[in-house]
Amino acid sequence: MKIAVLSGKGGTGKSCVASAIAIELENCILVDTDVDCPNQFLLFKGKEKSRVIFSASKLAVVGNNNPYGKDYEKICEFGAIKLENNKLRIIETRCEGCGACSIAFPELKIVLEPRKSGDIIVTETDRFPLVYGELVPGEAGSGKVVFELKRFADGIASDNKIPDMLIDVPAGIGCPVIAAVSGCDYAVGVVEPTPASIANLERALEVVKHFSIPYLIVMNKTGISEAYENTIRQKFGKLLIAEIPYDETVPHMLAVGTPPSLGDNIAAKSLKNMAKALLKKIR
Amino acid sequence: MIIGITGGKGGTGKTVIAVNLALALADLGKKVTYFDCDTDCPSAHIILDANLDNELEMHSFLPAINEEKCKKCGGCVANCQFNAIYMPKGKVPALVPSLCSGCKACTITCPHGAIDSSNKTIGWTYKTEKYGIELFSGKLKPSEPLSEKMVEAVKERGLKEGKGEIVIIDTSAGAHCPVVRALEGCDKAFAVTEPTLFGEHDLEAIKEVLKKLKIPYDIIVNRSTISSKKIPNAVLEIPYDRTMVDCYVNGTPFVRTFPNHPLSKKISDFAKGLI
Repeated sequence: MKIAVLSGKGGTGKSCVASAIAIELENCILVDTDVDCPNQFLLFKGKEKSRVIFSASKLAVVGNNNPYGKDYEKICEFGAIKLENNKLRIIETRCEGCGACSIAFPELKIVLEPRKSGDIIVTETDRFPLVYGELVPGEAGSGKVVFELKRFADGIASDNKIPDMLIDVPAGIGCPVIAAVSGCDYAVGVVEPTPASIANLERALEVVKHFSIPYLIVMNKTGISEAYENTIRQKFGKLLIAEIPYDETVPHMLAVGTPPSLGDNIAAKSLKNMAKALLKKIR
Repeated sequence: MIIGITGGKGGTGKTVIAVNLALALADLGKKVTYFDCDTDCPSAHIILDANLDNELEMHSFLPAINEEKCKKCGGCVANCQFNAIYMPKGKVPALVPSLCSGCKACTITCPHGAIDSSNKTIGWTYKTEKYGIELFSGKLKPSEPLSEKMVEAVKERGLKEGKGEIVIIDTSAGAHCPVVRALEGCDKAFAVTEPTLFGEHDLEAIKEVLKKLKIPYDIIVNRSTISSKKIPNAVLEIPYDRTMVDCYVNGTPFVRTFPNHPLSKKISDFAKGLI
């Protein structure tokens, strides 16, 4: 079974909830699909088993840089071509590698070269294998890296007969989120009792519904606002399976890299109970 | 002057700091325009308790195969780097709209002029005003992947219609293309982080992005008191404060509602240093 943990808004506690579920699952693989800001490896340290360079996109490279008499900049839909001192310059951070320029201006001998998007890393922690990515900062193609991460994880899971996969989804609702959520059996939405979190969880759930994936809700950091806690209870009813109180000892655990469900504080107990309740519900 | 507020990790308080900085700058007599460039999950309007007005629908190019002109040569399929066009056996090419980036390589490559221009809706942009701040926001259509195009749409509209002498650009979490699009053109950026291993790690990724874009930056540590961890070289440290949290939850402008609060003074002094 593949379970995705998402929230739309960042910083609601996705990684904490995901780590608690992964610990509770007896035999699982943890996939951290936040490839630009991976964090699970900070909680679950382990030996690196493999590191593979991944190329998700290409870069236009000008072979014969003698531009003359054409509207070179206009052809690029992404604004990646600049004409400077009568030479074309490809702005790497804007080039999507689509090749439109190479087709439009064959005389410039523009070729598409593979570019490094990031690394895909597999580590063996003392609890489970962890698969995560390290996107080259600022690179495009994070969605493709996420697809590749999941493909890697599928391979490891089938080789080692690991039945469950837990997917920690990045913030937002864009391409890496779509890639992370697609193909999952269940989604867990993490929400905190604030209007910004509720509004953006609903946007993330639109993506989940688009793929017809059933979902359950976990409310984190209760105690911040009774009014919005009630809003969440009313809005989600039976889909809300757990409430985790705001506990100021959690940041201290995260400051040193202890998975927050492994403590003996209030939040840790609630996180453990949440994971148990979730697995009972979906098994 | 264009100031970017970013940070890498989500939920560190980028928007709260950006909104309060914008209000503090406005209180100092500056005309401020705010671009909420988190078009995946916009929240500046929620924190400012503002309605999203003046909606404009945004589109991205989508090819439409002209069946009469198409000779089924397959050129468009071969030249689509995003696998958005495929050739069903014996038929004209077909499209997977969600994969199309709108690059037009298919149109340019087709020797028969058989690709007409169509489009898909990718989201909406908004312009509104609250507490004397001009706010430009955008919403990506859920299940559409083109976040970076929506970010560009918000910036384009804001730069054209906005009248502020100071522009605050609030980015989404992460260190990938929508964040890059938001930060491009900023004269200065602040990376907002928090004293946890996550905050510290993700700060390094965003610092790399800012260096690549050659944007000078400084670090702001929010909720600096939630752990004993120290993030070095911060130009501003905001301790965890329950009043600020309540303002965030209730959509009340902190520096306006509590002008005598020590943190309001701190933010105001920081704003003075920017002008």
